[in-house]
Amino acid sequence: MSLYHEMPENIFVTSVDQLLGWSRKHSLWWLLFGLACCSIELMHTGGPRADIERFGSAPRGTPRQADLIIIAGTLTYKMASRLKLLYEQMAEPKYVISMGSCSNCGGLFDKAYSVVKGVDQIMPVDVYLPGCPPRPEALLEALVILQKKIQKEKYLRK
Amino acid sequence: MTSATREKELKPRVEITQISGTEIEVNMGPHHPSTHGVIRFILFIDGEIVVRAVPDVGYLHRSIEKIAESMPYSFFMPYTDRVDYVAAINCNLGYALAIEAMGGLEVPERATWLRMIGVELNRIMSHLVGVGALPLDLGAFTPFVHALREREHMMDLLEILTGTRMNNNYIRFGGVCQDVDDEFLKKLEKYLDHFVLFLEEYDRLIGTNKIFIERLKNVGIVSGEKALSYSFSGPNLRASGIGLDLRKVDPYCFYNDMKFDVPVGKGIKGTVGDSFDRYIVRIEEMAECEKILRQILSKIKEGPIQSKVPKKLVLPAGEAYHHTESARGELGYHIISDGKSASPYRIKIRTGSFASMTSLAEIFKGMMVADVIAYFASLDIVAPEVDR
Amino acid sequence: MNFPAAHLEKLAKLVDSVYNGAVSSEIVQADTKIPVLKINSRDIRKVVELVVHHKDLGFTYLNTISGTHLAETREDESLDLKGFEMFYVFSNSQDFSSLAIKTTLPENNPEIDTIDDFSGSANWFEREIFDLLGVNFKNSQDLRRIMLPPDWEGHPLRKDFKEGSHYNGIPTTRSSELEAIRIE
Ligand code: SF4
Repeated sequence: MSLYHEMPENIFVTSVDQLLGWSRKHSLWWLLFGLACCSIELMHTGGPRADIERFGSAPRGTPRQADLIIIAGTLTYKMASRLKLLYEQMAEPKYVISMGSCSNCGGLFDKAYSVVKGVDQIMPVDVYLPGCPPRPEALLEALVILQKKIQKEKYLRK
Repeated sequence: MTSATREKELKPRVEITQISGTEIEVNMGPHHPSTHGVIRFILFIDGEIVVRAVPDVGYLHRSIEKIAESMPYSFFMPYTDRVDYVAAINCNLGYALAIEAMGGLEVPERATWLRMIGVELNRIMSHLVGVGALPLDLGAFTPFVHALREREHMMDLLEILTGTRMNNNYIRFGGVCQDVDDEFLKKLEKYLDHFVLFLEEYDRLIGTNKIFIERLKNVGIVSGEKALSYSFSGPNLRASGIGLDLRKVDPYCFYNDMKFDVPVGKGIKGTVGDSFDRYIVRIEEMAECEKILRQILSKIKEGPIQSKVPKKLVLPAGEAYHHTESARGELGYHIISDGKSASPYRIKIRTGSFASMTSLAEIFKGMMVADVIAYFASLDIVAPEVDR
Repeated sequence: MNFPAAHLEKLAKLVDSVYNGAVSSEIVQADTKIPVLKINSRDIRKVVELVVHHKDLGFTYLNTISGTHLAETREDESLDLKGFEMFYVFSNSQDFSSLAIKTTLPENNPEIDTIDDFSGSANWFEREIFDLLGVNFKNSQDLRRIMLPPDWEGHPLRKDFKEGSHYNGIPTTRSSELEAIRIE
């Protein structure tokens, strides 16, 4: 008799990929990192109403413990090398959400002499989130989209 | 610990720095969980004592002043939101008042009242971030969540008033962008009833906490004289015992008719001008804002909200320096118009945070590293106001 | 706060009497709310000293220092020149009435004496102007770039500032894909 018939209520049958994806997507720890106005909405997303932690995302103070970096705000040239450094310090697999028009493409500061016109010019981005600033609900949506992406990934075969 | 014992404790520390004489360079920021925005310090420490500190700013320099020169006056209004996103309407108001003074534009009465509602609500929200982030930086997460919860309610109110949660872009030259109905005013009044209770509860929760008091009292003392020398303004200056509020000494809008007190630091837990004073002044100021809001609610009348303003606004040649009391102190706009084009020749923005930053290098000297955070957090600095 | 007229006359007289006419000053009540004292740039330290330390004035609070690059001719006759304009705002710490001091600097090699020993905050205001406008403050304690990275070239608030195509390998403009499609 197989194990399955012995303990019918305690066993799931799934593929390892799916199990890994499922557990990874529900423990996306994000780096506590804000650049500009969007970081206020980022704070509110972590706050009591939007409460990002119900999706398993907890803020972390150091990049070495984070899986996800949310680039919330305007990236300047002076900051660009620091952000790159932060990103490189994160352990693989790592994900990036670009939050707000500024980090998507420069946004309002398109004409500025000191602003990087889009964070994707210095690092890869998984989810672009438009808005100036995006509401907390929108950031949650971005997180859910990222979770869907992670679920589909074949992590072991990479 | 009484202040006398604290003094005694401080003494040998300074001597140790003289004896050992080995400096370690510690980099703090620009990404550091307890810097408000992206600001960096280079601390030269000896043991736990800071021997020398070099603040480094500019990580959020977004060339707002240069952008202003390339667009019509009214297009610049959304950028003023971004000068201080925590108190956006305050920045709108300063800019609008400066342009209106230069162009001789009229503002209808109801519009002024609505502006004041927006500004005072925003001031409360901004101070909530200030007093919420302060315990956060000292290691207590819960108070910040309390502050965020109240901010959510206020953002809902602002959403009805202005249409957005933050970066409101609410004020137009000669008026405001949209009117509200009586229901909003009732809602606001109801909320204020709740807010008074919250504020008291919050102050009881944090302001009487032993650890919190010990971490803040007698830390980062800025005397009145020093505060003036460092061009402090707003709550930071008032915490040093100088009761200077531009709403009182240089009234704009209808602040002349408002009855409110200007809270000043009295050194209730330690010395005048210490970090605890900066906390308590903000708490008291929120209570004053609430008083002002109630007076506005009793006085606001129906009427138009926008006066006639030419589509293409060309200001007469000349310049103006106009200052208002923002949540972080004096917010000044120095505007130069060349009299020909529809865009400003130059806009310089003077902000409270920039002035507060100038004190860091000297005040940090001789402090413990942990106190550096306490002092910096108590100044309630936001990065974009420093860098613009 | 509106500056009392009595103060204004006193100030003009004071500047005259203290320096026996050696310092040229002119009071213009521009359409700003505060009176503006126009002086020659080489007298800046003398006038600031008077304004800050004289017992009848006591404008000890430095509100801000602002600089402007005047590249194009402006309609206002008095400003019709090329160069840099410095605008200092001081306030009285008692009643907070304000006063502005204005001076102009030449287009080439703009230089002015520092006033950073009169106020603790002056150094940062000056650094900002040095950074963004390239005005040199003589004898300053610490004149470094403040907003922009140390390896930055040029002074962006000058009217003739031109942005390069790249900064440290990062392109300064974003290619618009939509436009590219349209051209094809
Ligand atoms: S996208 Fe808008 S709200 Fe976000 S950082 Fe940029 S300007 Fe601020």
